Amino acid sequence: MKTLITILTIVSLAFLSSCDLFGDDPELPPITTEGKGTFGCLVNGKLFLPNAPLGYGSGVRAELFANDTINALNIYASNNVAKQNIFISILDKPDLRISNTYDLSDITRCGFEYLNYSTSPSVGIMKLFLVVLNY
Amino acid sequence: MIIAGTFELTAKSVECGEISITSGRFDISDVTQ
Repeated sequence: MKTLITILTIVSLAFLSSCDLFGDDPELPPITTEGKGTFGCLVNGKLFLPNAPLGYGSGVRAELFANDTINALNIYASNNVAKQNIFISILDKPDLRISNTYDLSDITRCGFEYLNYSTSPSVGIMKLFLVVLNY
Repeated sequence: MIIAGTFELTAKSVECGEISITSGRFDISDVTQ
């Protein structure tokens, strides 16, 4: 009897470990253009999705600035559990161009920051571009 | 207003080494103007 219980326990554990009891693992959101409030990427192969405390929105937002000469788009995504932030900034004049590919390494037009503060109390800045308006 | 797009990036830093960001995508309607 003891052997049978041991075998059943092992089989049950093997079955349970092969099942996802809490639904599918998180995955990247599909590429959409409907304003679904999604953001995601792989950082060194690991999934980054925004996550905000209750009452603080979805963890992703954007700002659009415009004046007579230039337009700027800032995108913020944060995950308060993983303690990671991503910031993307794009500048263009006279308007941001739809369906245009912007080179994130072009510091006259783009800025990108990835902050990971999960492993230490200090902030690690992976990359920081100072945006220079050089027109 | 809706802002949507994709992004990729590879960068290096002295502090954190190389970072590769792939398959980036966003589709945001919460846009402040």
